[in-house]
Amino acid sequence: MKRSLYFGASVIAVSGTALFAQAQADQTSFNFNGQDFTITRAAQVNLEAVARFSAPDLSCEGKCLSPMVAADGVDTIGELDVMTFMTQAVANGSGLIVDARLPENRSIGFIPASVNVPLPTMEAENPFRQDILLALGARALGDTLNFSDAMDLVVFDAGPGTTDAQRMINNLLDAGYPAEKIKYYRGGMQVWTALGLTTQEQPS
Amino acid sequence: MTTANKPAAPNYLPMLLAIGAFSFVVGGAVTYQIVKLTGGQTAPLAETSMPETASPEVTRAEAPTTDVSSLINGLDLQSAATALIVVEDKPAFKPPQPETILEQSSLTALKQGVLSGVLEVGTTDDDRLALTSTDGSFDMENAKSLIAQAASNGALTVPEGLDTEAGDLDRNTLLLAVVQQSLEAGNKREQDAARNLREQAFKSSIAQTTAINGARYYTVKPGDSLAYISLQFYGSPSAYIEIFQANRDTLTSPDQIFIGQKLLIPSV
Repeated sequence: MKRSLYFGASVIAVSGTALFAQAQADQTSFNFNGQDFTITRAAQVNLEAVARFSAPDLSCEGKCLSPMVAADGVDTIGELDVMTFMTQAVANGSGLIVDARLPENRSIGFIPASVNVPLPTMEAENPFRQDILLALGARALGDTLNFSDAMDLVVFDAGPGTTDAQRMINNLLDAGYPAEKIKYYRGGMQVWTALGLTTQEQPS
Repeated sequence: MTTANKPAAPNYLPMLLAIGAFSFVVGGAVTYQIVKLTGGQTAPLAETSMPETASPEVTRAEAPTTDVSSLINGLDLQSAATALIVVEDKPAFKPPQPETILEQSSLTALKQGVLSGVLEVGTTDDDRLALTSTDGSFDMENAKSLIAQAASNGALTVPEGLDTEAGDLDRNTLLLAVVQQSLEAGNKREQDAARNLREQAFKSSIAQTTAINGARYYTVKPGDSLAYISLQFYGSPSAYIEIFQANRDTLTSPDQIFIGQKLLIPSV
């Protein structure tokens, strides 16, 4: 009995170390739009950056805290899933990491190889919404859309303290985007930087 | 969006049938009186009393049908197969005329089914787009064999692009093409229904393409015909010509495609 407990503990320890190693030592490298990207984990966390992403958004009313699930059928994912998504879907062109923040917030820093699709552009009133959906791979017959060729998306925003990504996901669903093609990275910039993961400031 | 465009189910059908039955009884009684009075002149008088009836074999016996689906299910193969070509020249559906209800053929029954929303383009069990019966009341297999028979006995000229990669007739798509084209040639309501069918097909298509240098390529699958591929990407079998023209370097005929072939799908 005691022996098996020791064994169990050591398995947990080993797998825990393995995960830690994967996130820290193993860097994530991939190619997006002909450019090479590498995500590493810094030994020291940039607290100043974390503070900037965590500053309350003055335009936001209420608590502005994200729910754990953004919408029915949309999976909420973590950092390791985002990195897997980068090396697979983003690298082979079938997926895109979508930053739902406004451009002025994005300029503080963003996840490498992500693209900015600000929340207002996906609102029903925007006359160019269909053009954006076509750019994401949808096919159109007049106003009718087909999403069979649409890209898989990972949507993020500043983090759990904002609701841009959640609202963006619901706008996408309203436009007909299939829930199974959307993933919600709830951690956003707040958690990404708090973990010391690579960010980008200048548009590549 | 599609639901909004969907034509409302005609709830006046029972009323029309009642009117039809009533006028039949009155007309029958009147005719009987006239026949009694005039003796031998039966045929010309009977013709003038029902001028719109195009098929002479359509009799009162078939009229009391209450739903459109049983019209097609109850038809005998031979008369329906010939009726398919005749029906193209017939006047479009006019709700106020009881004669139209009496005018029965498989195609009008199918068109009625589409107009009433009982028939729409959906996905079959094997994930293929086809005209499907939303409540299961239409016998689609019967409709397909009717159309195949009309095609084989020369009553219906099969358009180009409807041969599958295996060289068979694509009966599903032929049936849809005939119904869609007939609706497109009809009145405003029928044209709306045709557009609705196009949107349903376009929306429910699960066909995927591969992007090569910004262009979309589709890989031919078992059972595909060029018209079916066109249905998947443009909502209509008749746009096959667009795909054929865009692939003239690899296609010699719209009826010769093979599994695994990569076809450029031009954007419209």
